[in-house]
Amino acid sequence: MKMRSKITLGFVLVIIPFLVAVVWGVVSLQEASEGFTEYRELARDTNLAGRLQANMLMVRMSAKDFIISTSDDAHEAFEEHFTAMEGFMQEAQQSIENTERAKLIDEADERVTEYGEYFDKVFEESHAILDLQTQELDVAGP
Amino acid sequence: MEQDELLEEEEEQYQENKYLLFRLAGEVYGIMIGYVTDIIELKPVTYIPDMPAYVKGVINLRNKIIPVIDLRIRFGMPEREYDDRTCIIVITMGELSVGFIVDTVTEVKEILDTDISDPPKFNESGIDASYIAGLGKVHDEVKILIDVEHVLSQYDIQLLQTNANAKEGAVS
Repeated sequence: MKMRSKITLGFVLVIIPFLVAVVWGVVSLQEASEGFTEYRELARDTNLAGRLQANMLMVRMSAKDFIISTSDDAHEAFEEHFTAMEGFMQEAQQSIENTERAKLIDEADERVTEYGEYFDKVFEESHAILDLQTQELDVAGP
Repeated sequence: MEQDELLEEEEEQYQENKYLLFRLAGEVYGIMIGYVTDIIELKPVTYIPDMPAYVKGVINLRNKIIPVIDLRIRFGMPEREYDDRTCIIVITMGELSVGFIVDTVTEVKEILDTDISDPPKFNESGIDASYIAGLGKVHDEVKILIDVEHVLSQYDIQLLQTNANAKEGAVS
């Protein structure tokens, strides 16, 4: 083998593993970057879901308090937490991009709206009962 | 960049730092909200024979049979009459959902890791306090943070799971 061929072959033998290492490194770096982006997205979604869940529990607690006391304070607390929850729900709908998670959020939003409507009915009915009691029963006497 | 990372880390901890607080015999306890799936008023409980005393029975919640545990009895506290403030906190651990009967629920509160101390050690006294995950300091008060997964033993979990499945089968 000529000296020129030997040098070329040696060069090729060195350059090939080097290129493989470079390509491998770039691919791994890209994968890591994608993984990190995914992780950040997941962290953000988890964070938002946490806020949403906290407000949902507060809504549930104030609904329960209202059912027990039928007080204006409990009703105000419900409205306050419900509005906050709706805000987080909207934020979640805008920022959650993952299809599966977005679908779950849409489903949760529907149920939340339904829950709000039922609570309004409970509120109206409890007032109707109170009105009946003060304007009819109390007036008529025992 | 460093600030962004710190912000991320802080945000990430958000759900972990949120606790549903409730009262038991005058003290405030907390459960990580990630475990809580519902809070319901006390409803009729179906008694199940041959269960530990703290298992009050099962309830049917939206067609799902859920075992209900009285946390007062589980923690060795004196029982009391249930009233309209008595609640059931429904928690989910893996496939098992369990209801905890508590005196009342109060609020959802954020307690940072830096405000949580390790639980007291009772190893030598033989007292089992493994269900205490830590003690949260909020202003001047102390909240007892519960490690839900240690409230029930593995034996209890299997027992409850089997009974709930059997009841569910009977209902459907």
